Amino acid sequence: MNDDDIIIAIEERRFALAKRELDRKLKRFPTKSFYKAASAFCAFTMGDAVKATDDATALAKTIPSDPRTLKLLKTIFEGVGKQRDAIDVYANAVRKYPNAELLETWYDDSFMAFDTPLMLNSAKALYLFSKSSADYVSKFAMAQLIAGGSAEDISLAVLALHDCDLERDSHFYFLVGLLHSQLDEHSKVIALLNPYLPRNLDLTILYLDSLKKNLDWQDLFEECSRLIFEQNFDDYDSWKLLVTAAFKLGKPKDELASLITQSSRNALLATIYMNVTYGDDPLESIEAYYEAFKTKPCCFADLSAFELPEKFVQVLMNKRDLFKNHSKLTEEDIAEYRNLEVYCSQVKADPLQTSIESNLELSDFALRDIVQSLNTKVASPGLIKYVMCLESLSQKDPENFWFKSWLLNLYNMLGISPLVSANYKDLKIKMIQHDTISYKLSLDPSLANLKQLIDIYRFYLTSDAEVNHFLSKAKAEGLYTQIKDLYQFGQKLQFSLSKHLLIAKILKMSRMLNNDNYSYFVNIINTNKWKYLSDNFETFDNRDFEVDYNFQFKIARLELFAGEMSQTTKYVQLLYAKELLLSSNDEDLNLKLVKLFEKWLSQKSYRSTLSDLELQVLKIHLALFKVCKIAPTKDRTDQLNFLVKQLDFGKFKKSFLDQADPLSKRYRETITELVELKRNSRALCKESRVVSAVKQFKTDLRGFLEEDTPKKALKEIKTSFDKTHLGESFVEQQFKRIEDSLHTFDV
Amino acid sequence: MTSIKPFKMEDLFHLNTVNLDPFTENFNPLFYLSYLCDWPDLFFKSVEEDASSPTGHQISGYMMGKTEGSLLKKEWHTHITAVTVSRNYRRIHLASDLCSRLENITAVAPHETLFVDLFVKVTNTTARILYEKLGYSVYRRVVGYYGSTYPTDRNKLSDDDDAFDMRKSLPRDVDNETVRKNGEKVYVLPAEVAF
Ligand SMILES: CC(C)(COP(=O)(O)OP(=O)(O)OC[C@H]1O[C@@H](n2cnc3c(N)ncnc32)[C@H](O)[C@@H]1OP(=O)(O)O)[C@@H](O)C(=O)NCCC(=O)NCCS
Repeated sequence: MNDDDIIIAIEERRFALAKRELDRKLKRFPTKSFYKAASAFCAFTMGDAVKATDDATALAKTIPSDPRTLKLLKTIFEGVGKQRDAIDVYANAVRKYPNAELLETWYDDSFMAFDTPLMLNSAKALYLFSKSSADYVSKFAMAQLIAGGSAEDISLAVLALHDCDLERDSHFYFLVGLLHSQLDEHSKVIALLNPYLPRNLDLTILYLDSLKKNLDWQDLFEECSRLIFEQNFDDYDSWKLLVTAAFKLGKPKDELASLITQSSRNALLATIYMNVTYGDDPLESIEAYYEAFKTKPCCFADLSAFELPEKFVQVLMNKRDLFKNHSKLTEEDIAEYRNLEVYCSQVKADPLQTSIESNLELSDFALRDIVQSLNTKVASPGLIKYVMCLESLSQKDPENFWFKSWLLNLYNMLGISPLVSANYKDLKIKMIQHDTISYKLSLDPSLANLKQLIDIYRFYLTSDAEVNHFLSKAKAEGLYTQIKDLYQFGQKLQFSLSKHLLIAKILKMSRMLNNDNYSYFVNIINTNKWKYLSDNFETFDNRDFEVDYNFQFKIARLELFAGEMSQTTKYVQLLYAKELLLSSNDEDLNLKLVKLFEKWLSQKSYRSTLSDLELQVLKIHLALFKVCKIAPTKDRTDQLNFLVKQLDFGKFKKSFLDQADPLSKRYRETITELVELKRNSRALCKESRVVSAVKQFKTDLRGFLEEDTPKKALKEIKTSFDKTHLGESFVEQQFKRIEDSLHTFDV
Repeated sequence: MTSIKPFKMEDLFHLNTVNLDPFTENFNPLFYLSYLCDWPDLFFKSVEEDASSPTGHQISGYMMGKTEGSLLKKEWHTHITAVTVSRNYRRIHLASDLCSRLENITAVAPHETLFVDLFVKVTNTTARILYEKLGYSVYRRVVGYYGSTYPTDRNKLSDDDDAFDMRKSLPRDVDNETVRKNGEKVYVLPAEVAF
């Protein structure tokens, strides 16, 4: 077995084989640092943090120089939460043995791990090691481009770039230009890019920006004229710069206006912008734009950039009244009328009241009305009515994804897990979209739902490898225009909050279902536990809470997912600590975890990530852990009393279930939490007092579920539902679909 | 008020308004990454000013293109891999402008391709009209291109599974050799369109 295979065997948890191989190797090469490090890594992966730390610390003291050894030591120190030691591993080694291989490994490792401070340090060390190496200059400069080091380092990088023999392509010019720009040396960017032709889009944008920042109005005017009038670059930012430059140069407005001969949308808008900039009345130009684009969906989004003259608004209002009272409208009229309604809803002027039976052309307004009415609490009968309306609209216009997306939200609010899952699939949410939208997947525990979550997790596994591959490529080939974006994208995906929330969901669901996948996911958090539980653990929140409010007219975001929004890194840490305690039998570890868990539960910053119910349930878990997972403490009796008192279904019913609509996410989530609490209590605690409390809890919970309140509530809604507008059979069909999705829990 | 900017991987986090569209494909990161690394100038987006957005703009559409094929075999061309426009910005010639921009960039050095091509579902009449207006014509019908099983019979047509391969010749193809009339009647299998 070669050395790489040993590491692979450890990573794949084939410990017996790995250990046997390591023993053999250590007998033959007792001083070789790699085998010692691999042995510590094996202990670490097996969960023996103490041995791993001791062995790694002893080895690190000898300051080994083998890059593979250093890599393993860094992984171990990071994994056991010794961040300082992790940083020192390479720093000490390069101080003692400054050689190219070591420095390169340090740089590559920190780069691929998105460890930005270390990446900057190692890049500088590489450059200082050999200032004449074009490769090292490139790496040093690239690090400045990505992370913006000190002004001194950026200047150093720029100087080095001027002297090195890297290929002078557009990537190179972008790199040098951007570094100058970071130093606010705009005249230097201009001098650099001026002769470089043709400039691609990245360089064009950088060049224009530098001309503007350098107040170089004449050149800016000429450059924008060239782009717009000669190269047909119909770009609104360039149009605006052209107008600004002309104004700053004191050019008469008529002279500028005579240049704008096009009638493109940008040109018409630029004319309005010109009038506003020159302080003239924009009315005529606004009317000209309106005449050309009054039937296009973009009309009022475009005009919202300008203050509309009173006179123009009055004309709009009159037109709207005319349309409103006109019975026969042409297609064009309807399109314009829609836009006028968009405008009115934006300025909140007497918005049109639509109804479920509205025709399709105005269906966006039905959606708008539904969304806006959700601003105040709407009970399940109202939500069901909205569901029917949107299901009907969605059938008529399946291409309009807003209907489906809001159906997903409504089913979520109603707590109908199978329909949440079905709508999520129906929207064909894929790949990176999961990272932004999977927070909407509040699902009941079931094998099918678990599979759906695990399938999403697979996306993260493959995408990490994909990003790594292209990041290496961009780094090696000097793709400077892309490198910062790729780095930041990779970082956001690797440390994605959604990914961790997903892992937490999978852990909970697979544990509740006794599913085999549980051990795989426990291993993930167990191996990385000190990293994840450390105060330095940070994630990126890539979730998109805006998408649902961006249909033609933007509307204010509601608090529908307020609970999910408060679930931050600290929330993940609390759930991970709970999962680790549930799965661990190591008393030393448990003691550390219990202390941490208790500390966090007393801190506002952690508590604020939880709902009242979650906080209550986690407090009970803390007591369970104290009683069952660590050596008996002084307050054991108090804890037991607390448990017996709190494991009372009646209390939960009164505080939570009676307060929730039986057809609501809150109700559904409460049931899931209580089923889980009952199971965990039973599995953990053998104390007779607690056992009988849990028994009673179970009986009460089961009795409650047998009443099947959600189904009864649905039946009642159905009885009084007005079926006339949408047709009896359609409504019946929808009710049946919902009813079939309301299954009970297995306690 | 459309401005043109280079597409960035990070845009994928802000693309839902565009990409939730049922006719718009969502690819794995690998796919976007390879286009950005290999053809960075042919992957760009249109953005609209939006003061309420944290980025100051919202993405209204994008173009993802590449160049490939052998010049010797007269197959050196520009390929439109994806063009899509948000529902809020349709029918203002944004897609047409994105296509024209790609065409203009690749018609000249360093690309100088012979033609531009793309695949469109036989049933996507909207897109077909758009391309026809821009001067594209059907070059051939690729049977079973979007199907779930691999087709073996090039005469077994299915509107749902077949694609039109549409082309527009560029100035370098002086004699218009890369396009033809009545391409709708020329049936090929997917394997026959690989360059
Ligand atoms: C197809 C799509 C890209 C068109 O975008 P767009 O910016 O609205 O298109 P344009 O404004 O440039 O349209 C140009 C011409 O195409 C035709 N056209 C475009 N959309 C049309 C529609 N919905 N109905 C009828 N004709 C249409 C019109 O002739 C139009 O010219 P006109 O407006 O002057 O009449 C857009 O609808 C979209 O993103 N669809 C989903 C993704 C997709 O299908 N992509 C194409 C895959 S190959």
